Amino acid sequence: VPESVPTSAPLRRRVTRRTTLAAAGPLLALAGCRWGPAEEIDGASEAQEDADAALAETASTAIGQQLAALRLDADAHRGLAGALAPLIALHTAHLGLLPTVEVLPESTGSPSSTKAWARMQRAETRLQQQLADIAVSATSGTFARALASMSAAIAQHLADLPPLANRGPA
Amino acid sequence: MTVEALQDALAAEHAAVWVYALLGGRTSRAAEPALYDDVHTAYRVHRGRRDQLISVVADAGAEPIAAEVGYQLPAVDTPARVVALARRTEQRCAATYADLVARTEGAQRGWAIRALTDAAVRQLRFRGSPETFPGAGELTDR
Repeated sequence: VPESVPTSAPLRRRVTRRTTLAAAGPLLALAGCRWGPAEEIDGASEAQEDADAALAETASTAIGQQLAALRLDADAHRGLAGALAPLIALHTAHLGLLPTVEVLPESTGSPSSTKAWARMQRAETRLQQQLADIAVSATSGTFARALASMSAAIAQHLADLPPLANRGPA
Repeated sequence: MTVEALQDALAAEHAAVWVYALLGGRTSRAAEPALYDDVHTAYRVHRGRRDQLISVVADAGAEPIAAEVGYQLPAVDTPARVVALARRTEQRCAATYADLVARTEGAQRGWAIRALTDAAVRQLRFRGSPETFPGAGELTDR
């Protein structure tokens, strides 16, 4: 949220310290700046700020890996592409608020669309829980709120998935 | 700060219980069995969450706020309007719990996240659509 992101010189210094992050999103990628209203920011310690930056990077990596896996599955199984599109769009939007972290897909694709579909559901469920766990650990309430909403969005999309039977041949 | 946040959530749950009690009375079990089940399930969930919040607020040494005498609602004289009001209720609860996430820590925050997720998913039962940031829609434009 722009009003919560300080634009002072100290912020710029902190952002540039984060050399592990390739680029920053609209929220200056979270890392190196703090989420939350001014009073929350003023009360946070530098250690807490660094902890949230690390959590943001962890969340970005997890989402990025799942996004890469989804794209592989969508390319390998044309029948799944349409059903996976909303999840791909969702994760892409979420990554837009997080620091850019280069990731490589952990999976190499599934031989069948049925297996790919089942693996996707398990992976999304894990990601949903991981984002919720990160939200609980976050120091900034505003950051936690955003992560919790991302987690809830994944749950929503999972609940709205069409049945595999409608996906067509692999 | 946390007690105030919990009181805000309690106020939202008082309203949700009131709304679903009304909607239950406006839904025909014979004509709309699926909607009837969804409304009654939602009523039970929100009543349970309200009771939980009352306990948590009381345990924190505060006086749990009471429900309003009544709530101003639109006309709910058709199944479509029942569905629309239920969906709006869940969306408002999702927003309330997203705010509670920001204003709590630890186990209470974890509870708020589960409540946010439940409201986000439950609105799908009432013809809602998946969102990018349920409960925090302003993030969509960032």
